[in-house]
Amino acid sequence: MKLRAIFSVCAVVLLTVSCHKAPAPNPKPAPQPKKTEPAAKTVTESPLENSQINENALGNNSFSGKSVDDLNREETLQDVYFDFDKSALTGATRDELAKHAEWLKAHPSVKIVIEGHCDERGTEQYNMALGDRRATSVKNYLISLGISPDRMRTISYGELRPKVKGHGEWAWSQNRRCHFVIVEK
Amino acid sequence: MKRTIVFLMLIIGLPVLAQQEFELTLSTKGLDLIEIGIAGFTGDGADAVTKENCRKLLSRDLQLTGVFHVIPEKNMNLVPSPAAPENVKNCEAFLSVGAKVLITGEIRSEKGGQILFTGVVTDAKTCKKIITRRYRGETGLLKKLIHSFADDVIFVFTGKRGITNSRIAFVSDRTGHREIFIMDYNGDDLRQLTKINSTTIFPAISPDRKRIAFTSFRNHNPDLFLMTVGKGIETIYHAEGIGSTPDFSPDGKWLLFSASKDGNTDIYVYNIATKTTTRLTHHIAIDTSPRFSPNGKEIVFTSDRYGAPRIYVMDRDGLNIRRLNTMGSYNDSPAWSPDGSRVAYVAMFNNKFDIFIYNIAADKNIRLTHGDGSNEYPAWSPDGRRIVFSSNRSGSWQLYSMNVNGTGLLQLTKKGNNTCPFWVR
Repeated sequence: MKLRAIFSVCAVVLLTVSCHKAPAPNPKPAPQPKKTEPAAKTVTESPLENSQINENALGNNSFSGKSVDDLNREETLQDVYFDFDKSALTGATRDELAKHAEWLKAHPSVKIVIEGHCDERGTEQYNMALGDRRATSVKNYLISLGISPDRMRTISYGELRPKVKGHGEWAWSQNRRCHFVIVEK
Repeated sequence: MKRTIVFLMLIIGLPVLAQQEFELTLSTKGLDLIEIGIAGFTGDGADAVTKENCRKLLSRDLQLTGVFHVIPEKNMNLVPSPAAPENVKNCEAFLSVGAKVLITGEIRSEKGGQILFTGVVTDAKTCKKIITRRYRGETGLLKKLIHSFADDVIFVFTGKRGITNSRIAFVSDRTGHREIFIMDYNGDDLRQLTKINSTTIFPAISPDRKRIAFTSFRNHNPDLFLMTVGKGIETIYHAEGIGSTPDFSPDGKWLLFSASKDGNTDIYVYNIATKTTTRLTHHIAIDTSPRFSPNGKEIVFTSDRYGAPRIYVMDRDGLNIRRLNTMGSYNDSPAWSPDGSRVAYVAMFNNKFDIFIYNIAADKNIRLTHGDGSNEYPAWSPDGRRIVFSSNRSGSWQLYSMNVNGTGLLQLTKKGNNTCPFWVR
């Protein structure tokens, strides 16, 4: 994950350098309106690189070359987290889901399963229902962001599949989550 | 004696002082144990080891009722056993080691691979026989014969049949994933019931013992299934969402369960004959864990309609919903006692669960476990004297049973993780 992020940053830097885009990261804005024009031109002239930049920003550098397994292994759609005994979406979860929605819009052929999970503390029976409610609230939020319901299916695993083994606050916070599995691309 | 009283007071604790009257009756029940001695078995129907095992089996059966205290072997061994069970002479010697009631037994072999077990109960004070019972069967059924005798002894002293031939269904991951197993009420003779090769949980067995309902991820979704002996498995509920927590009605005709549609879990009832489903609750909250009352007229269930999950009761048709006055802030796993007077449930304290019993008429709660691991999923024995539950107190999830006042703890399983016990009615 980290390596890929570093690689992506390097790629962006290399591209900007090779394009002679003078002050791309920290633009000294106003006084150089003319220089931005050729830079923009260079970018439009290389649409492939452009798309690469976009996908780098979304954490994926060659969608077409990857299998569904690759995409899942790379955690293309990262987990989102919940408060104890809650299925309400926190601010951080909404931000993350907004990114997921963008990515799903950029890849309209992708279909996903949204898994709802709970930490070990509740009862097995109640957690089955809570995991279901979490997965559904994520699905509904993605629908509200314009993703078609046909592309998403929910499943609850209750507390059956913890991501992190352990019995502390941190382990619990990691296990109260929705996990995304890409099933079709 | 006195020390036990003090100990009970301690575990019951201060908040219960107000309910002393109720607690006292329970305590007396626990303390008035019948001191029973079991002499070494005689007869030619089994070798010495088997005879000793049978004596231990009977001893455990009686001890587990919470009604008897079995005199330790080392004391009983001080008194020579009578050569024949009917031939008790030295009653005073048995009295001197504390046995107020004496059991003697004989295992005799008969023609055609049959065995005859004779059990005799003698009052040690008067040296008079209380009962003599004979049980005949194939050699392989010796354990069953001993259990039957135990049940008869229990009936003589309590007026209620014992549960020593009852069984407990449960979920175990000992095969690598969760499947349903069944075992004797004391943990013996364990057997795998389902071989679905996929996570399978929440077993419920019909009163006629011919059907088992459960939730399984067999089709990559938590669906509800019904397995009938000799007929295979049928799907009761499959939809995006969950089909969960089944329970049979006392007449075996209905299956209560929880299921979700659009992320909202509600309670449904399924008619097994007509294969039709009726929805009972219509609330935006989670309603789950439904269980029938023993007369089938009411349903106890868990709902988080007013915040945290709590225990509610409703009529069989889903109307007249009212909350039970339970302890703690997070409740689930309600289970109605066989006589209908109480509901066992779990309450969360410090991120762990403990088992409580709510007495409906008295509006009182009794705590049975006290923070030793997390204690979950209580189920009543058919005679209402014991509760089986799942606990991680040993580090892994194992099943235990205890008396309804929290005493007489017995560990039933040791291998893998074991959860979701269902005491077959």
